[in-house]
Amino acid sequence: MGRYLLRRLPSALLVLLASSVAIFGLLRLVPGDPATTLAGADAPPEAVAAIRAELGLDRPLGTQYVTWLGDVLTGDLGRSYLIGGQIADLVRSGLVNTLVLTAAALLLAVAGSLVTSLLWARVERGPLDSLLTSVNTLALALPTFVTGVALVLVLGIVLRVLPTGGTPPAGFARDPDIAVQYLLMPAVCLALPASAALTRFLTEALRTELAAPYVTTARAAGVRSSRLLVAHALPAALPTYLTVLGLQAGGLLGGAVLVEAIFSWPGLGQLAAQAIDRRDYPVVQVLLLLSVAVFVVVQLTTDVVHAWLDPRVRIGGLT
Amino acid sequence: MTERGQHLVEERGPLLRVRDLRVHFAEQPRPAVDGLSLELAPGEVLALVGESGSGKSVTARSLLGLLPGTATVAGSVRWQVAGVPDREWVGATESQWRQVRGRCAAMVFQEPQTALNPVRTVGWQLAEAVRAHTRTDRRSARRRAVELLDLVGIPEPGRRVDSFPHQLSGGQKQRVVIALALAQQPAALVADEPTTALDVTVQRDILQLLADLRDRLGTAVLLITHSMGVVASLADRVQVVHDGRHVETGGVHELFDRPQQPYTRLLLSSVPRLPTTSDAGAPAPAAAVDTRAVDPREVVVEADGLDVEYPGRFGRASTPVLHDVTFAVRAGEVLGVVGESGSGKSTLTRVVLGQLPALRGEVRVGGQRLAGLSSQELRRVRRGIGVVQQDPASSLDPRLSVADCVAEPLQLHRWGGPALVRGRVAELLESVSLPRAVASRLPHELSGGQRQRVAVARALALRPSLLVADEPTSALDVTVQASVLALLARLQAEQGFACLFVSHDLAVVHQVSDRVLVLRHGRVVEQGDSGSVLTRPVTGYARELVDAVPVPDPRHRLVGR
Repeated sequence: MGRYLLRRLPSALLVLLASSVAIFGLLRLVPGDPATTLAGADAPPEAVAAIRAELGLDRPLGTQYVTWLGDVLTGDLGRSYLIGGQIADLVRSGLVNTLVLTAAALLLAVAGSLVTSLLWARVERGPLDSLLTSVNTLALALPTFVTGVALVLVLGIVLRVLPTGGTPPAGFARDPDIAVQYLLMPAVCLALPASAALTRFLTEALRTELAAPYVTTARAAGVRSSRLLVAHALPAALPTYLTVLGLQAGGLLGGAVLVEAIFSWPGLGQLAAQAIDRRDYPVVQVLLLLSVAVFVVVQLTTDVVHAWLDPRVRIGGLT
Repeated sequence: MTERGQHLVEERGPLLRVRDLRVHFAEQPRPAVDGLSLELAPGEVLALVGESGSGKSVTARSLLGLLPGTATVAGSVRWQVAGVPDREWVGATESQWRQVRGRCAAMVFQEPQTALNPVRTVGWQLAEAVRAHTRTDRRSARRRAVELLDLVGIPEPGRRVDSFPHQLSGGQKQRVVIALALAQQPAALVADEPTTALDVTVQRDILQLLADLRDRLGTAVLLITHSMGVVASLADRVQVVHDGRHVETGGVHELFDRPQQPYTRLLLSSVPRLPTTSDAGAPAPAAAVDTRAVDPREVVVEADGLDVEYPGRFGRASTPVLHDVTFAVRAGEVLGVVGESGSGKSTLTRVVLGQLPALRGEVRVGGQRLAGLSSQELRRVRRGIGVVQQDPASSLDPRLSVADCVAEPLQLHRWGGPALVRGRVAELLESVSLPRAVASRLPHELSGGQRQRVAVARALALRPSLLVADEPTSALDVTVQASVLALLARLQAEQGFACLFVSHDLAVVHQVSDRVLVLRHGRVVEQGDSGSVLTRPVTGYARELVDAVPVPDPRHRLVGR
C-alpha cells in the first residue's frame, strides 16, 4: 500500500503545482485592481502607486508568483488586503466550520445511500421501483437553495424545532446535542443530492452484481439471499461506488458555498464569496489552492481505498 | 454404464424425477420448455443435449429454483435425498428452495471467469458454501475449504485457499467452482456446459475430474451440453431435446450407434470429426511437400520471421506475443491456425490486417509489405481482405439493414453507384443462400446462422483475394456450423480466395483447411498438411492437443474409468 501511494504521489504534487500557477495567473487576468479598490475611487495616482509598491504588485508576475509560493510553502499565507487580518486565521476558523459541515453531509450521504440501495436493489421492476426512481430523480434535481429555503421555512420558522441558521454558540465540542441541532438542516440539505446520486449508482451496481453468474453459483450452493446481497454483491459493487463517492466528496465543497450562504454558516464558502466580491486576491488564491488540495487528497484516498477493496488492482496479474 | 444406471433406479428409485415440466417466460411467444420429463438415478451421468433454444439450460435452472421472476413453471420436480423433504418443488418459495440447493444438487456453470466473486478469496467463497446450511466456525470452514480444493485436484490447497480468482488459471477456476458445488456433499451436480469455455486440454482434465468424482463420491451428474464429443466422453445416458421438447433418450452407446429420431441423426452427422489415428490410414504421400515448393498458385499472404510484442506500461517489460512466425497462404488455399487461448491466434490476424505492427520480420499481402504503409495505402491493401468474426451478433451494426451491412464495404471503397451496389448486394445475398426478403431486415431479426451468412457476404463483397476468418463458427450451433462451413468451402471453390482460418476446434479446422499451423505461446510448434498434422502430429504439444479432442464416439472415451 505504501509503495502504491508513493507511486501516485509525484503526479498529485504536479497537479498542485500546476494549479497554483493557473490560479495565480487567472486571478491576474480578472479585470479590476485591488490597489485601486483599496485606495478608493478618488485617490490620486501616486497613492495607488504607493499601495501597489507596498503590496508588491508592481513587480514582475513571475517574481510575485515565486514569492507567494515560497511564502505559502513556509507556512505564511499572507495578509488579507481588505477583510483584514492574517489569512491563516481567517482560513482556520472557516475551515473548522466547513469541515464539520461537509463531513456530516458526507456521513449522511454514505449512510443514506447504503441503506436505501440495499433495500432498493431487492425491489423487483414494477410500480414500487418506478416510484423510487421518481423520488430519487427529484432528490437529485432539487437545487440546494430550494431544499434549504424549504427546510428553514418549515422546520425553522413554522414548526420552530431547529435553529434557522448559524453555528452552535458554544462550539461543536461543548454541547453535542445543541451542535447537532444547528448542524442537521445544512448537512441534510448538502447531503441530499449527493446521497441521491450515490444511491442511484450503488443500486444499479448491486443489481448488476446480483445478476452476475457468481451470485447464481453461490445461490445454487444454498447461500441465503440476504447474505448474497450484503456479503457477496456489496463488496464487489464497492469499487464502483467509491469512484462516485470520490467525485461527490469533491462536489460537496462546491455545494457548501451555497448551503453556507442559506444557513449563514461562517465557513470557507462564505469567506470565498466575500473575498471574490472584494477582489481580495491573496485570500482567493489560498482558498482555491486549498480546494484543489482537498480534491487531490480525496482522489488519492479514493485510489488507495480502491486498491484495498479490489484485489485485482492490489495484486495485479497471475502468480 | 446404462445397466448400472438402470440397476440403481430399480433399487433405490431415482434421485430426481421431473414430469411434464413447462417453463414459459413473460412476453415470449412460445414456452422455453414444453412438457419435458426426465429421471436421474443416483451416481448416474445423464447428458441433456440440444442446440441453443432447446431449453436445456432453463430446465437445469428450474431444478434448483433458479429461474428469474419472469418465468412461469408448471409440471413436477421431485428430489429424493435424505434430509430434504420429499415434496413437490414446483411452486416452492425462495427460502424453501434453499433446502434443495447445495444438498440435492449444486450447479457448475460455463464460464469459470465470472462464476467466482472477483473481490473475495477462493477460501472465503468455499467457506460461504460450507456454512450455507450448517453452523460451522470459521476455522473448520477453512479446513473444509482446503479439503475441497484438495478433492478437486488443486495443487498446494493450503496456499491456494487464500488466492483470489484472478490469480488462478481458467481450469483451476473451474475446479474451484466444482469444489464450491461439492461443499454440501450434494447428491447431484448440475453442470451447464462446464467445459465449453475451456481449452481442449483443460476440458479433458475437467471431464476426467467429473468422472472421478462420480466414481469416488457417487455424485450423479446432470450434464447440459451441446457437444457430442463431451457427451460421448462422460455420459451414461443421453436425452436429446429440441425446441423445449423431448426427442429421444437412451444409453450412450445405443444412442450413438442407433439413433432413432431424424433430429438425433442430424445432430450426430453434423459434428465435425477428427479422424482417429486408426482411421487415418496410410501416411500422406511425401511428394505432396515437393509439389508445394513449385506450386504455381500466387502467394496471397506471407509472413516471415514475425515477432510481435505488446509494449509494457511504465517501464515494465513488454510482453512477447508472437515469435518467429513464418507462413504463406496461396490463392485457393486454406491455412488453419490452431492453438489454445493466449497462443497468439488473434494477434496473428491483427498483424495480417495491418492493425498491429510487427517488431521484427515482415508481412506481405499480395506482395505488398505492410510495414511503413501510409493509411491510404493500407486502405488499398485492406480492400483485398475480407474479415469474418466470431460473433455475428456484435460484428454487424444493429441499426443497419442486412442490405446496408453488405453494401457498407462497397460504399466505403467507392465501388460503384447506387444501382450497381444494389445489384451486387442482391447477388451476394444469393451467393450465401439467403432469401431475398432478408435484405430489408435488421440483424437481430435473423437467426445466428443467417447473421453469419450476412457477415460472409459482406466479407466477400469486394471480391477479396484473402479471407480472414476468426472463429467464424464458434458461436453457432453444430447443425448451423455444418452449413456455414459448407458455404465457405463452396464460395472458396468458386472464387479461389486464400483463407486464414483461425479456430480452437481442431475437427473444424481439419474439415476446412489444406494446411495447418499450430501455435503455442506465440511460437509455431508445427506446420504442415492438415491431414498429417491433425492425425499424426510430430511434436509432443500438437499430439497432446489432438489427443485431448473429445471424440463423438463413446467407444473412444478419453476419460478413463
